[in-house]
Amino acid sequence: MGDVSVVDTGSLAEEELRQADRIARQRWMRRHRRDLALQVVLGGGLPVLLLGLWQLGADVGIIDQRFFPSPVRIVARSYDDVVNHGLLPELAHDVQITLIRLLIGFAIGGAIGILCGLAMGNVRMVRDALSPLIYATYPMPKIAILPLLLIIFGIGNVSKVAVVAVGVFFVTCLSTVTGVLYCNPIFRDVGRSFGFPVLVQYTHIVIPAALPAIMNGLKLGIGQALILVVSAEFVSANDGLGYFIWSSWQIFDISRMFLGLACLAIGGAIAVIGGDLLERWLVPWGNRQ
Amino acid sequence: MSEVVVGPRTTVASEAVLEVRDLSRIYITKTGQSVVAIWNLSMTLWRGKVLSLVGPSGCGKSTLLRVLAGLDRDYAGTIRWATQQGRPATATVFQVDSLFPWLTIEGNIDLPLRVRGLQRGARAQRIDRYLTLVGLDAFRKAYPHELSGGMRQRAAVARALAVEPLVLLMDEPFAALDAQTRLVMQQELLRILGEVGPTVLYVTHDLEEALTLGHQVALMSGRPGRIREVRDLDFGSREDVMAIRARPQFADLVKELWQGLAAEVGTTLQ
Repeated sequence: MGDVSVVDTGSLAEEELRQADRIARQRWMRRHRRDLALQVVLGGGLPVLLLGLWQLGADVGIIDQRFFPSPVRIVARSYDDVVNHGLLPELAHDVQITLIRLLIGFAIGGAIGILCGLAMGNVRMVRDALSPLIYATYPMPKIAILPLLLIIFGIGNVSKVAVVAVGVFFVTCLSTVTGVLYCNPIFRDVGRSFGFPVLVQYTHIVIPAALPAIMNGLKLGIGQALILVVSAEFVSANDGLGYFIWSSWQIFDISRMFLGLACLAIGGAIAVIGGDLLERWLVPWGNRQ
Repeated sequence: MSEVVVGPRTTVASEAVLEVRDLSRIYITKTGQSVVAIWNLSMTLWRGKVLSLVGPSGCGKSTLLRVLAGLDRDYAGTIRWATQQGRPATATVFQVDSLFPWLTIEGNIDLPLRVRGLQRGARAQRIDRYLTLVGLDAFRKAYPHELSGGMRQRAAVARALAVEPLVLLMDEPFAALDAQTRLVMQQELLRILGEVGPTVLYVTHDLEEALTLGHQVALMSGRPGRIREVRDLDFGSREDVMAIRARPQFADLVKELWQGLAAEVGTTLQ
């Protein structure tokens, strides 16, 4: 084959070649390590720097500690609250309730979004029927329909789950439609030219081809879901992380509020990383180096 | 179908696998104009022979391939196949990357076989045979994006050969490769075709490639596309691409055919 070449260099040249290869490898490793170290220092350094400035500003007195307690003070207070004043069960309960609303809403919205998107992408009649409705309602801020959902589903958990589901539905559905419509036509041609039955063309070509777009929609959906669940809890709940943050602000317990925000940030980061890992697992052919 | 074959003059002693008679295809463009892509095209493919089809771009080569591959059914005329005996009529090697990026090389070859209902053992056998044939046995677990362009096209050739079609359709399979890789691939293809002996319709716009690979070459006229003439090719052995090209008859034929082709390119440019 064209890729194989046999070069007879003799044993002496072979030794030289090995030596050169070793040096090239070492050089490459060094550069690789330096790049990695730089990435960690820069990426991790900026947050640390900002926290440091905040701490410094608070210590010096430029920042009013009544509104912005210093990071050290927040950590100390939070630790004290959680460990000594029994805040842990309350916080755990709120995190749990938010998580449940989030996951159920995400699952329902994502599932309906994917099914609807596949139907719209594959069946012209479904696309013609649903497109105007979906594209007209898509730009509406989803939190604006919370009052409507409250009327329909009551002020309990169902309305919060519903608003999350609606938000996730739109991004997932539209991403899926795009994924199906922009499936490289050559792949369909291959399926048809090899005589694949229509059902096999869907399951073995259209869906895998749309999978990267679907994953992208779900990842966007996670962000939407977080925004919506917290917003809904701000205005109409008496538990959940959103309620925890909002009530802290109302009683002006700033450090408690930051504790809630930190929980949210950690949750968001876990969701994003989880989404990336899931994508790597489901889309191993994706454009990774 | 081996009885009377009306068609281009040929001395190739063989049985007709595919006969196309008076094939026409008219497109309606988005602006409502009709374009006659192919008009009354007739041709014959002979068992175990490679027919190279050359023509200026836009002459309807790809349209013809799409019709034969079953991707386009809005044609007029008749297409007659020899008895298929459970084999698919065609398999196609496309010009662009057509391997499914979500399957490994092995998976890509396996899927059409699975769809055709082959048993596991038979599938494994064919995968082994054709991957070895194209020299990719070591890369069976690799994903397409991990291979070079030339390797991907070889895998596509293996995928098409593995279903053992009546006719192998090749649509400028090496057009996207660089000149050196293209030559190596032509050499490879000669060897592979020699070993498997399939009936092939090889479409290209490269006259020299057509003459190198074909047992016959068919020249297409510019739009509307039809076969202008068919020549039998014999440059001695079909083993070494460079030896074939070094033949004096080769250069003479290139020169002669180029004149006609150049005139056709002129008409499609107008």
